[in-house]
Amino acid sequence: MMSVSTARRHTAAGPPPVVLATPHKRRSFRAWRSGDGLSAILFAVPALLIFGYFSWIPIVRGVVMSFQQNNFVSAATWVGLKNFSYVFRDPLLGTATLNTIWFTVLALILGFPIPLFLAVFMAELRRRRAIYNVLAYLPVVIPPVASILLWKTFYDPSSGGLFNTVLHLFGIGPFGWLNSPAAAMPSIVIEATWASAGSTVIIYLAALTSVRTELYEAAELDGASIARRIWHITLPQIRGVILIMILLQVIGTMQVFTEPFVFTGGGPDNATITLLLLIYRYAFINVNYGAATALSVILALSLAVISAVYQLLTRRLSER
Amino acid sequence: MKKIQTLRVPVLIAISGLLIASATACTSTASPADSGRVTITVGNQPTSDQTASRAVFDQQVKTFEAANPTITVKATTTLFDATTSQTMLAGGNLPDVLQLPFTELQTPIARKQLADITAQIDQLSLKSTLNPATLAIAQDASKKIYGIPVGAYAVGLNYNRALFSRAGLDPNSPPKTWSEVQADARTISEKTGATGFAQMSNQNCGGWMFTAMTYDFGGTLENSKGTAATFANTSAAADALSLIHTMKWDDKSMGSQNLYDCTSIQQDFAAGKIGMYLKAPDDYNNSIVQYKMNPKDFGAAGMPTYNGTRASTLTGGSVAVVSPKATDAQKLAAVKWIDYEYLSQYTDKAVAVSFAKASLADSAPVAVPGLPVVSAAAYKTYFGWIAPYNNVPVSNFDPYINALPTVKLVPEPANSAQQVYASLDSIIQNVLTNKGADVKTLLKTAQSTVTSQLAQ
Repeated sequence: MMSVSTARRHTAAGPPPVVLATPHKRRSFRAWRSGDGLSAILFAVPALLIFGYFSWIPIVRGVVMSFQQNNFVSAATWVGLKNFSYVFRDPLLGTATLNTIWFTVLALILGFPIPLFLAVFMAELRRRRAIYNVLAYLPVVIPPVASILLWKTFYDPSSGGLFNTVLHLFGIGPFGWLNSPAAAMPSIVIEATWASAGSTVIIYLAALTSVRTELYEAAELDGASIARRIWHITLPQIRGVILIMILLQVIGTMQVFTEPFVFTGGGPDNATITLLLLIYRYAFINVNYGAATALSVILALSLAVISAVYQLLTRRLSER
Repeated sequence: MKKIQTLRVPVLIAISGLLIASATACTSTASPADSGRVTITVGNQPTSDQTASRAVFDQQVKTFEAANPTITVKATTTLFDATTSQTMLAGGNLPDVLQLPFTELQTPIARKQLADITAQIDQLSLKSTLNPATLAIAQDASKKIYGIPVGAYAVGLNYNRALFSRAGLDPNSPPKTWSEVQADARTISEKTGATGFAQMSNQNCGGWMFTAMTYDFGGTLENSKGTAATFANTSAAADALSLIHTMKWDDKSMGSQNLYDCTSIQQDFAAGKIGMYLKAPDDYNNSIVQYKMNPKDFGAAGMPTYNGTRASTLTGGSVAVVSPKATDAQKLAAVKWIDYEYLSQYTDKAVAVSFAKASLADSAPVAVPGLPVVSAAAYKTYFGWIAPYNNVPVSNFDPYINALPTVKLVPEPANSAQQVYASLDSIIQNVLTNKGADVKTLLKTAQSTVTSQLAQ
């Protein structure tokens, strides 16, 4: 029999002492080449080339383009900060920023607890867990555009729409859903949560397998309720994963594009226009690649700052 | 094991070498063409599922090459796409000849992304055969020509003849004024439960059609130089928005869907959910082929008049353009190809009949009446040639065709039309979702924003 306190003491004892490696002797080039050095580099070359060609070069080119005006026919001209000033003077920038933050907040409120709850619930199951795994993950394998178009029919604003028909049975509605400036964003978030919760559930489930069962057994013997076991054991044990998932979710939701693009095109009355949708409009509607890349650079820098601040704020929490 | 290790390094070097080679291959340049011969790539080749049309197109290529032995034509199924054509242009992969919608034309002209083909058109004496009203759309302020209109239309009123009948209205007598549109929309909604009149408001389609409505109400979108927005300077746009507001909130004849774009409005129209909407008659093609509407139910009428004044409307269509990277010889070959491929059916009966038969074999609409790109006489003769093969109920378009000579045709705003349309989209959405919308303030605010964008 082991109580929670003894289990904690055991954990606090820490891992066995690490045996320090002996200092490396400087190897000759010949020894390095005949060893694994050369082949390691050669193994890395394809990945570096592909990563550089398809990822880093476009990133650098994007940053360069944000200071240029380019029609892809004649040589690009340098325009300094003109593209950035264009973006900052666009009245839609404020709307798009607030909408993006609103989407992120709503997605966090809905999208953070639901997968966590589902994962904990599924981890507690003794039977048919595989079925629940499949059910949770199924929306993820449906192509995003297909699922959005499907939900678009659910959100039909007429009284014959699926959701409105169901709600009518209870004497509620009909609602405008995507056609109402107030309801459009929450409607999009509901679909987005449904579509992506499965991936998060799987990650949380994997994290939950690392929580040692003896902790639960001890707590159970001490008479702790399920809620207390989750609060005092489960959540602290997967704290690191939760913090990373929140960061990834914030970065992901700040870049939301597909849902508002397909659902509403940014409407009604710009109620769902997001920063990425604005970038799309600059590039493909206004054919202003300078402004599009300038806003992309601004967004990337903002996300980098948010990530750094978040990491600083949560470092102590995740190390606890 | 040792053997595997010794093989590992050369294999990795080979893989790395291949990758480097493939990367550098992307930047290699094509070898120069043989002197005297010229090769052009042409887009808009029918896809392989359109068997008969593809066969006719490929035969056209062979016939053209036989008649022009120094020209080689490479056909591709590439179509214009706003999201990919810019990158294809940047990568040098855009075909030398491609069709663009009128709506997309002014931006690439302004950005010098299209070839000036004025000299080639003059050299081949093509100008006299083209309709000057539609050719004007492919010209800039200095009258340089950047494309040849190959299909044109003027915005009108599409209506569902079956819904008109169900509502007790005469499908052969569609509304001719906006007051009649309002009254008929109310009747359709009351008698059938369908949306009487629908207005697009999304993906710039709302602004696009509202531009036609603003013209019709006597307004303009921009000044003649395209340096300032003008839609709030007169009461035209405000009157048009007020009418939409009344139909939506007082008459309740505009249904519950407030976010129609060009595609979704066609879907609901074909499904019998919409009585009338503004668009061109060539929506017939998608409504019948893709959305399976009964051809007999599709009706097209002219732009309704406002307050007894002459109707005005927006013109549109498609223009065959030439890549800015084409050489002078390629430009001349491209213009010859455009003339042969797109215009010869109006002057050569055999070509017209072969095209008509191919469309019929593919169960595609043969010829939808619209605004001609050639002279009215040539257009009439053409419809006579293909009459035995035409599967389109041409008489359903009589109200549109009969109204056409009386309608004033106005081209798109000269500068950044898509930005203007995007601003108008959100105004229409506001009117459709906000009962207390203040149309004059909305228009003034949007005009000031658009003007500041046009000035940049």
